[in-house]
Amino acid sequence: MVGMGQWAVSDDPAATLAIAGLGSCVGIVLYEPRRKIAAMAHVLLPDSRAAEEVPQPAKFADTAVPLLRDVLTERGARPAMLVAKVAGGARMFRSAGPGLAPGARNVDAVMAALAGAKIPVLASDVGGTAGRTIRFHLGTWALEVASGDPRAARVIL
Amino acid sequence: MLNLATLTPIQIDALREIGSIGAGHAATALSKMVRRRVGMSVPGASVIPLSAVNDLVGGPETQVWAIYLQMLGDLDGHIVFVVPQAEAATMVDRLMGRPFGTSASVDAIGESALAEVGNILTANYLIAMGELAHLKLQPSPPMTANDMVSAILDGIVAQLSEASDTILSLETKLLIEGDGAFRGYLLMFLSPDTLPKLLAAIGLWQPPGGSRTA
Repeated sequence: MVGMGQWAVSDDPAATLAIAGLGSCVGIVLYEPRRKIAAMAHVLLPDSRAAEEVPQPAKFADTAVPLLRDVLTERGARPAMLVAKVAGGARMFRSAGPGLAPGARNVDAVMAALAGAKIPVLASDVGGTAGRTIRFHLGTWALEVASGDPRAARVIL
Repeated sequence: MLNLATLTPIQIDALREIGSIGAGHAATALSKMVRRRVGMSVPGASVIPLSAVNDLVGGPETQVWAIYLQMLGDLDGHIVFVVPQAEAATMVDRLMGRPFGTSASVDAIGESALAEVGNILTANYLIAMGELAHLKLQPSPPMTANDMVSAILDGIVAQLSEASDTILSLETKLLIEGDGAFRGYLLMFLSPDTLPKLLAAIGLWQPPGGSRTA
């Protein structure tokens, strides 16, 4: 389980990287399809530039993407071969105005950071009004998304 | 700048006391609404890492109803009243004076009843806290959500976490026992930037170089 503002990496094909109860936060998975290695970050905020210091770079979209890329390349992944899957960024309070709907801003910032790093997004499940639990299976590269709305179907990305 | 990591036991106790008085007023208000005695846990006051927010209210995927207010005025913080999904319908039956088990789930009327209760409880919490600390505190209009507890709390916590990887959490459990028992949780999160103001207001902090007036 990857907690708020944290990250994890694994090269075990039997492993699963997961985040339980994503709301406006965004889960990013980066991996290299030809090698069994993947990393996940649990992003809370779009932009680190307002922060005085950044002890937890996985917390911000703009620092989480370079962090995951570096973590993977240090372990032998080739930066040009990395791909991404993304989920989260819901609007949890129906009556919330734009100031209190940080989900969309998180998603925009994550997509911009991935585009800036030239990492293609193979699949995403973002926005909406329900929370998500996500599980990334290293053996199959499947990102499984379960909705906080019990009536919604499970999605495999 | 006051660091959450360096709060003294006396300061933590004082914050717990503020939580206790706030939640006590909220419990009294709830008790009047449901005409039953409302029990209250000893409030927890702790500085927790962001990742520990997942452990509040029975685990990250616990389905809950939540009524959320932002604190406006002299302090920057957030109050959330959380009712586990399984007990929300019981609470609605109790509020509407129906026999228990009438509501299988929370309908639109039930949702407004829950929102109103959450609004009253959290407003009472804020008023008591403001009077104690001689601070002006107003609640924002309430917002309601029904989902996994972590999914609901993450955006609230994110607003406090720009400058800090830990947050101050005050939590109190309210419970009604016996027939139609239910639990609710009052959670208050304060911004690290606002904490000196609250502690100074109760005479437990002075800015560096400032004179002590408490």
